[in-house]
Amino acid sequence: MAAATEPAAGSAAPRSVTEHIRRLRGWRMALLLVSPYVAIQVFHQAAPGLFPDFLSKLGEFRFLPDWANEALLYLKNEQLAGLFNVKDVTRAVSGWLEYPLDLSEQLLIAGEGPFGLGAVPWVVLVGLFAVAGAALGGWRLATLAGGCSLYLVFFDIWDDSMITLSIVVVVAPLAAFFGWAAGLAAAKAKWFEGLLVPVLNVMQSMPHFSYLLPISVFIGIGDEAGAIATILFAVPPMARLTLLGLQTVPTEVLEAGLTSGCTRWQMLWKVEMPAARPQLLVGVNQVLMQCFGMTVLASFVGTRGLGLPLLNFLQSLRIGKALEYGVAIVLMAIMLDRLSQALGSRRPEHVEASTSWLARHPFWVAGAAVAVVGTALARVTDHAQLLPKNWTVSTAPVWEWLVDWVQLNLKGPLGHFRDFMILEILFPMRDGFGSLPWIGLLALVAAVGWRFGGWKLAAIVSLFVAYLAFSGFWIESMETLYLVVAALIVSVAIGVPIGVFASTSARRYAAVQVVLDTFQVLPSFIYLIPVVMLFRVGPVAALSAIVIYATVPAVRYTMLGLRSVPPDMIEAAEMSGCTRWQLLRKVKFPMAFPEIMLGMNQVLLFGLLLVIISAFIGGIDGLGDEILLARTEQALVGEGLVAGFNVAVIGLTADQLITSYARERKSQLGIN
Amino acid sequence: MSVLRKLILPLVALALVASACASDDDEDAAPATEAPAAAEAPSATEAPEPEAEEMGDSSDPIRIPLHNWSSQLVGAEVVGGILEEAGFSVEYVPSDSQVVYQSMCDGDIELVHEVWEGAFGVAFQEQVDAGCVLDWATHNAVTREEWWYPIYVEDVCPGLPDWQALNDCAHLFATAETGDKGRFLGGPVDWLKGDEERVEGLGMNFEVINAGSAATLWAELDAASADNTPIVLFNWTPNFVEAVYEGKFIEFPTFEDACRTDPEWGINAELTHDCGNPADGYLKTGVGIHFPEKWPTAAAIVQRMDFTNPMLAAMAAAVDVDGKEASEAAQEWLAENEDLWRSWIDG
Repeated sequence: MAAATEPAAGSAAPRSVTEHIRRLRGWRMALLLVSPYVAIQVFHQAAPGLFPDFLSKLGEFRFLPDWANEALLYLKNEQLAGLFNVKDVTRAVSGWLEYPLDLSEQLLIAGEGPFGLGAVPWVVLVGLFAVAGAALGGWRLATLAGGCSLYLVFFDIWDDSMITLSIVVVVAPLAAFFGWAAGLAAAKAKWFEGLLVPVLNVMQSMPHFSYLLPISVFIGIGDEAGAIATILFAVPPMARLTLLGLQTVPTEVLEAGLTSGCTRWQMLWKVEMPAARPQLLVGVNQVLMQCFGMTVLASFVGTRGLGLPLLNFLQSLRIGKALEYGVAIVLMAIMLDRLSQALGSRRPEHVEASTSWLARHPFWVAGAAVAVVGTALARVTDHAQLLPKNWTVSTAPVWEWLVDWVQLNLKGPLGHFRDFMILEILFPMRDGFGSLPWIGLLALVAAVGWRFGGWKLAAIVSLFVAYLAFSGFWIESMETLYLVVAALIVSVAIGVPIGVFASTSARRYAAVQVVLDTFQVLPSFIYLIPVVMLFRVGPVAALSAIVIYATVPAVRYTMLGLRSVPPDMIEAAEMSGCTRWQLLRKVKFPMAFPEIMLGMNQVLLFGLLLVIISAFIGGIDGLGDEILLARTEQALVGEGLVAGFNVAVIGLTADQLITSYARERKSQLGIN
Repeated sequence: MSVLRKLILPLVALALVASACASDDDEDAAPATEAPAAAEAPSATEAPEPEAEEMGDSSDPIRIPLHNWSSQLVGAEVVGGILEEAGFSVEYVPSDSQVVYQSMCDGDIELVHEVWEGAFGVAFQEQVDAGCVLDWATHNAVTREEWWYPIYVEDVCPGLPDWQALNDCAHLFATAETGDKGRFLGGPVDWLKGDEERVEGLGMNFEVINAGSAATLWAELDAASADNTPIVLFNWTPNFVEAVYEGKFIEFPTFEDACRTDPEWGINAELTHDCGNPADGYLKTGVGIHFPEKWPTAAAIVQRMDFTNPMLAAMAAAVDVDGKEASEAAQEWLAENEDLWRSWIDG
């Protein structure tokens, strides 16, 4: 940092040199940025004897994992400041969750217990979902909600999905509330924003697995533990979007509110919240997606519902059944999302006050009718309470046939592809990353950081790389990084063309959206098994699983970028006689590029989450293995957390660099 | 200040008595603020204690974990069903099979009825040594975990199941990443099987690739069996796999304790691990340290429960081969074996 202030304070000449360097463009700039790295690499390769070992690898430096292990054990076993035990406090607090969880479970499925309420029959619930859909979004939403819930009934998934639903209906509002409150506080107090944003960054890029184990220690196992894990996972996007929404309320709107004499309270509820509604709704959408996305992982800490049976089906290779369970998760997420979106974006309606109460509230009446008739029906026949097994259907045989067919017909050709990928691409790449001295990576990252964010960013990202080097998991981090980078390249190569294709018509756009939502919520465990069948245990299987998941943001952000190109610009290009190809290459693509870069950032974050889950495939020795190994012994609980933090730091480094780049590029292009 | 204290002390005492009466197990219900007062608690709770003892077992639910393999899932509901018949309430908690011993230590789980020597021996023994889990009973069933191959491999590799014969046809198992070495697909790293040490100890021409989970082991086996690709992988018995795929364990030099610790032992005088896994590993039931105090009758019943290999294989097959739900299979088992489990209840 000393170097940063010197030129500014000193003579004018060095500053102009800096400025001159900064103005370099294209390959000259790239060359300049990689030169420190290349210099270090050349030195490292040419004179390995002279290159100090501690600048290359710090494998034996185990201070951090050991310290984390001890710190967590201390929190678990000892009295903090001689007053209270942290574990007792966390367990007592999480114990409160038991009451709402029990209540919702009894209402939806169990039907007995301290609250003495009967389980709602499926006919009533399906009917209520349909009525809610009709009330909020007309017949289309009614069909969607009714259809999704009927799927659960007829595919024999009702019980398990109601347990999952009973957890989500408790957890999602809590997460949305906490996220909203945190976002609001951050929007009102600058210091809190400074505190919150880094915390959110870390929370969002920590792999879920690394905090599941500490949760099992401090919360225990069971539905509450899964609920807490889900809340931790779902709060950050809500907080982020609330903050964004409140910060982007137009000043004219605020002034209008102030001039009409609003109190602070009125300002918040009547002006700012309505103005921030679009972002808040996206926040609710993300909360629901994250809640359902955690279903399977939460079963690792004892949460019941769809997760455990799904894993068991996979365990005995009943892929079709597992897929049906996965689809159930997706459908419930979509149904609740569409209902809540419709609820949130409803406009007040004006009804003649003179009409009767019945006519003014048709849907309340319909709902009540469904409840009464359905309950009566359930008294008459048990089929209306719980559909008997022989009435249910399954598509499992179709999927199993498909899997067999793929194994017999595609395994051969894909085997060659696998061997080629391993020998020619992945292993050389792995060796390259593995031999990277940490000081070299630091130099590269610092140079890029300096270019796009000045000395401050350079310092931050250097600190991140230095952390990785000193964390005790440098080699594992590089093993993880190489796989994620490989997945990034493949995902972008697949995702960007799909995004270009999908953005050309509104219909394609809508269709692709549904596919993207599905893949984002569908539990990734489901495709771990088929990829192993095709590619065997090893890096290619892991890579494919990561790519399936990480292509989603690549497509999404490409579409977003291309669709947000100003229409007058496209018109101007068409007027000057651009062909479609020229239009795409010379106008749309450069304009959309910053957005696509942000998409790459998301690809990387998604990839990091999945690279940990792909440790369940095996054959790679990255951070995921460390996190899984930490499960065997409680003495390793901190180690898993440190390994998870490494994943977060890798993500944050890329995030810092890419967002700074995109910001600069956008301002150059005059977007936003 | 003194007035305040006068007011608070009776309140605290009242709260302690109330909480002691309200539930006989405060572990979960204890609010955080009670922790500092815990030292005083015994004097307050001592009085009602004998009463609780007269009642016998606690009425709290006995928590049994559900793991991710089928014999355990069926067995858990069999154990639970028997305990329910005996008048106890039972709760099933999905749980990771490695973390569960920690949970038992923390008082979140009461009993694990399938502790495999090979896979969970280390995690189990750690908690037994720490004094918070009890080694409560040993089943009649023996477990074996070993390198295994599907039967069609014998057609191309004569001399199996001998390990030297396997080593001679290592090239059949070679893949791109293992070069000219054979590829052995091991279990997940966290099962700590010592396969690499064995490959070295016996001087085998194999490379160990660790699968990430049991599910991926079966996925590879399924894919290999589809076109008879030679494969040698980690497997165990009792297990549903033997009902679906025919195959055999590799016969390594017979296990002895010294093999793992004494380099002198066995065919390689310089290295340990020059032998197979135990062919008759234990299958135990572990219980939390407080289980026998809190549920003495239930603890005695659990101690009498004894599963055999055919029982476990049948439980697994009911789910994995016949496609039944675990609870359905458990109900059927209970209906068919009523005399047996009645004898466990009655003692």
